[in-house]
Amino acid sequence: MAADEVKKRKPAGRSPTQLAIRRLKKNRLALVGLAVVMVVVVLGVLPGVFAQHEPAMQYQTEDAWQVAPFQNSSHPLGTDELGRDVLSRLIYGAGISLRVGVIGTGVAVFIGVFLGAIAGYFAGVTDWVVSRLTDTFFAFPSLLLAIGILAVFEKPTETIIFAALGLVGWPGVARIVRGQVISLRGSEYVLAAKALGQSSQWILIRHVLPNCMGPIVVVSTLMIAGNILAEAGLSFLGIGLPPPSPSWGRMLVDSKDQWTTMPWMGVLPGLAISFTVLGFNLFGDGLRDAFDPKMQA
Amino acid sequence: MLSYTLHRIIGVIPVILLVTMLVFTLNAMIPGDPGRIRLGQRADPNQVEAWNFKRGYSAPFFTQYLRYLGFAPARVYLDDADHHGPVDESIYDEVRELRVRGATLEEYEAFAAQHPGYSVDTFRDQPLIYRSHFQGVLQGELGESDVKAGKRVIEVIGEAFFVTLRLAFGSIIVAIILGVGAGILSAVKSRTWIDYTSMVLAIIGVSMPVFWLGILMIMFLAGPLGLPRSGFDDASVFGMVRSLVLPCIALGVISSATIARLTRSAMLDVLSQDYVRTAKAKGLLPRVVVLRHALRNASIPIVTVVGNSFGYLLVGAVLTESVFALPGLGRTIVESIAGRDRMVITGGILIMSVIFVTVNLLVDLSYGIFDPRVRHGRG
Amino acid sequence: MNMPRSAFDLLAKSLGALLLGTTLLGSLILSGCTGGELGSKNTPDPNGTMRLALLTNPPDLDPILISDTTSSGIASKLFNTLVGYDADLNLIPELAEAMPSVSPDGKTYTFKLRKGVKFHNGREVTAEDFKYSLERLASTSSKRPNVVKPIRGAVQAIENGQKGGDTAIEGLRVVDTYTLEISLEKPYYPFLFLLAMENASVVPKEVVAERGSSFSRAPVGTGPYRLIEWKENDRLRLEAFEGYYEGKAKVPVITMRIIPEALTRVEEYKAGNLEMVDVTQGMLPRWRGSAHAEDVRVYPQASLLYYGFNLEKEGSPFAGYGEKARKLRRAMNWAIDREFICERIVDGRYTPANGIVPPGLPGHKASRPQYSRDLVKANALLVEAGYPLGKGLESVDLWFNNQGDNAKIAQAVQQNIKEIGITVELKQLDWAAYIEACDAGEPSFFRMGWVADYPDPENFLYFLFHSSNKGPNGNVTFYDRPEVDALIDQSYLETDAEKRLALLQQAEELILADVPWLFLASTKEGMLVKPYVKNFNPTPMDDDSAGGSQIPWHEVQIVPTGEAQ
Repeated sequence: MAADEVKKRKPAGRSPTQLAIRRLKKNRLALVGLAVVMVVVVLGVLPGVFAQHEPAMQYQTEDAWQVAPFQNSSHPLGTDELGRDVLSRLIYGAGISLRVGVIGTGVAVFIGVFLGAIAGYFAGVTDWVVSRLTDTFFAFPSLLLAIGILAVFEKPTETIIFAALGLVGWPGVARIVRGQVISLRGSEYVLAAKALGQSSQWILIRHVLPNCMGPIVVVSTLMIAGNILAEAGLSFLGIGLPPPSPSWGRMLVDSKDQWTTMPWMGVLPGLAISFTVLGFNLFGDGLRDAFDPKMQA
Repeated sequence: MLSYTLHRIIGVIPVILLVTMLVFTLNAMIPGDPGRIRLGQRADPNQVEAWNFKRGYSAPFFTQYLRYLGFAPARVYLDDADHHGPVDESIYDEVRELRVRGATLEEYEAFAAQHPGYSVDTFRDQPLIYRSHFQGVLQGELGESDVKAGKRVIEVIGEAFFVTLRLAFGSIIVAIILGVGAGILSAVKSRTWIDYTSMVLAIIGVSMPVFWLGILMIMFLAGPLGLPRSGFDDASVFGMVRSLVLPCIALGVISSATIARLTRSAMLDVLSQDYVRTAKAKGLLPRVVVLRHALRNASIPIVTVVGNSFGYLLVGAVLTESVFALPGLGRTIVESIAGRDRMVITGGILIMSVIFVTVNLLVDLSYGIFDPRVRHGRG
Repeated sequence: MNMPRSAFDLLAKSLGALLLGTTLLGSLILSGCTGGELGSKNTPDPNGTMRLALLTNPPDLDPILISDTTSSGIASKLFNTLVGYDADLNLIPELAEAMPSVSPDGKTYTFKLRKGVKFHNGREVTAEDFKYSLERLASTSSKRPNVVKPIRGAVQAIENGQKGGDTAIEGLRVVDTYTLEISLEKPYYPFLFLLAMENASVVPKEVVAERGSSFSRAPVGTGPYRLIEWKENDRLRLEAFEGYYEGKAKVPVITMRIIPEALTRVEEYKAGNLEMVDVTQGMLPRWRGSAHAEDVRVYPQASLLYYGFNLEKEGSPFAGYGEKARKLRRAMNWAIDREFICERIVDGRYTPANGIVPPGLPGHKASRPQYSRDLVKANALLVEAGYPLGKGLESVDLWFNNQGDNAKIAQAVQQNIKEIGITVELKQLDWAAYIEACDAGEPSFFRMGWVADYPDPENFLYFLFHSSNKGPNGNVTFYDRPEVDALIDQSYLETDAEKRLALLQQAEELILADVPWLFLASTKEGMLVKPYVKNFNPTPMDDDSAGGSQIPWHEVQIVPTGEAQ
């Protein structure tokens, strides 16, 4: 409570977050990234508004079966190897990519923040144990770990895939949070809070973690990009989402044998993935520069 | 420095143990009975059970784990043609004779009395035990493949390991060339369209699914460049390099973005410092300034990135090796997961983690060499 | 440097540039893909090497361990069996001098061996070697003890082996160096088919003894080729065996590279680095329409594809033999658009099935009408079954393994069935987990196929429907009808080929009336083969792995025509 009051009344100047936003606004590439992200978010949240067709509907008539882009006005981007509307699948796929990215990252951030904070704050044996655990998951080839986890399950549903990606991704977050917490541990306001007799839990949640938000947001944004790519990679190895899910990775992989005969299938989902990932990467890089001015010239 | 090094090396041991523990747990949870997989779908259930028993798969989880590590004795069986240890032929023949003619319990007991250390049941029902001995990771033994008859794990992953290592090494070179190039260009032409373009290009590289990039390269680049589309040609050094060019590019661009970023900011940092300005003022050629002074100072971030991205490279190698049909470790492990070759999975991941941990350790230690400030502040 | 007028203006500018860039990149790729005639080089290897591609690393090459098509495709080039097949799949003598003489009671087969047949190590093959090789099949390390099971005393030998004893089989008798006598427990018509399987190949005892289980990595046989090099996951190299009993093979060297990615294989074929390659969806029409139409080879296969129901599954409305369940299964059969699946999804590589025994095999009934898509019939049957418009049926999981065209076909079937109101969810597993689940009877609705071990209807009917084969042996629908069992059992004792076939056909009709499957298709193999490869004529017992297993490989030739493109 007390610390909050102090914060609000901070005179003049700007908070680090405000400064970061100002810097972000000046970064052209980051804004382009943000725009791409916004487009994906809108499509992903409201696919039904934009898509004309059901994503799984197979059109088996002569004029709609495996038709190339711009040939049939009701299928502007053509249909795929089973006669499904490519544009509609891409739109619905945005939602999947978004969920894979965001929820997978959410799981990783949750575990990572939890363990990282504990390790950093309590130090000693706790730190050592958690750090070795973090190192272990770091050293374990991540994609193989995800494959292994998914092989345990008979039917990898969306949720399981998200969770697997989260289980694989948390060490990065944990390391960053641990580092931040260690540097904040000795700061004046934490010491002050301790002197006031507040519990460790309270101090961590109220005072320490909010100050780690910058790096966490940066690493999350970049991890979303990584998770979208990882989902595509899993699809490539035949262990992604079950059909007829319109995940972009699946679209790319399922049509792979036909790229020579249906080149649009080799191009469009790939571009969708690349763009979205590019958007998140640009935005994430921008955030990093904004939060860490030293990195920027 | 010495104590730091020791501290770090000791910290590696629990990590490796935890990695094997994790693989073992996953292996135990993955569906697919090892004996049934080895002996085929139509195998007799007794035969399957006997095989699992001989291979130790019917032992409790922890026993299996300790045996694998070499902390608990593994049993080697006389009638198992798959094994490579010494065999006491004399006892084998005698027991077999007893079994084949269906000897009575008394006969077995008499025989067991002559051979202390064995129980009657052992002679009667179980596959024959020759002796227990320690043979696990600790003794440098990774066991035998569950699926490929007569192949030791070390043979299966040995060759594959060196393919992947070459691939990773080549990719790092590609990443450094592309990344440092783009980084320098961006820094020197800071805040111009050249800067933005090269940074965007670098990030585009990291934004493409690696298998997609790989297949596109096979389709469009291999032909015009006259490079092999797939496979690993180890007949000559030249052939090997040629067969690794495309895979290394596909894999290398992933890390180049990060290197480019860091090189750019390190360069900007350095370029704004006094001694570079002085050098410029003294009339040295810009190229010389950039290369001689600035790049040397940019080397620490490069080392960092090389270390950090090594893990990504090993992972990316899984996909790249499949696309380009390279007989590497990543592909071997993925195929072993699909084929449930648990020993190869464990051995392969163990090796991968050891490489990863070692590279990171070396990178960490090298900071101390590059930058004396690091030597103390860490713990 | 011009300062940005406003953030928005800048944003619009940058986005515009990005979009332009992408469009350029996209159209570049598009034009590259579709641009012009299909380029494919007809350039044989200068040394006359046959370059093949394998989809996977063969797990094993020891005959007693072979249970997959890749391994048997390679093994057939390294080994020989007593009897084999001609181009029309009639049994012919291979290492036997002539077909065996069979005793009047149908239990004893006497084989006279060909003289002068040499192993790759130069030693001559004797009857003793056959006895040894067949007895190995009864040992614990064998994957296929079933092959020798009909021989007298084999069951005892298998048990002995499990106890750690040796696996001498009573019914195998070496009469003299070149005469082998095999007596069976009781007459068993398909016995010679078993002897024609790769598993029953002859191997030299001394080499097996010396190499132990690594014999599988470095096998020695009598076949037209010797294995020279095997780099796991990378490549195999086979060299023509000088002393082959039918003369040295015409192609001196065969290399097989393991290339898991279909697209990569095709690119290698187009670049002239492979002599033959398997095809995937979309390729056949494209190649047929190109200047390389003559590369396309399509031939029927003795294999079939079906979607089975677990008839013993508790609580599944699709299980059992009751009128209601049978009508429900029949309704689903009428809903499937087999023609579309066969013609459009797999480019004519499948033929709609009209029963169990695929075309090309004796006993196949071409005259039987097949199910075709008829939603009126399907809906009427659903009403009769008590599920009008699918009401009252919960969604059912359709299980399949993640290989080949399985996912595509499953999705087409899913949509077909949805049209009569039955919701199907797809459940995709990898092969190891999938086959274990099916063997255990877990799925109530699943995809399955069967590739003939030998060209006889018994191989389909017995393994897929006899109640003694429930689970891992092949009867994954857990079909159990005493009448069908009785007919199949009776067929073994029947020595008259005609009457025997009639019994099996009768069994097939009974099974069809129970509708245990969605009858889908029998398969054809599609390949691209370079025009300069001659005498390469696959039979229905071949598939594209390692260039097939029944082709007489010593006769295959590479004849460069001199034209290079």
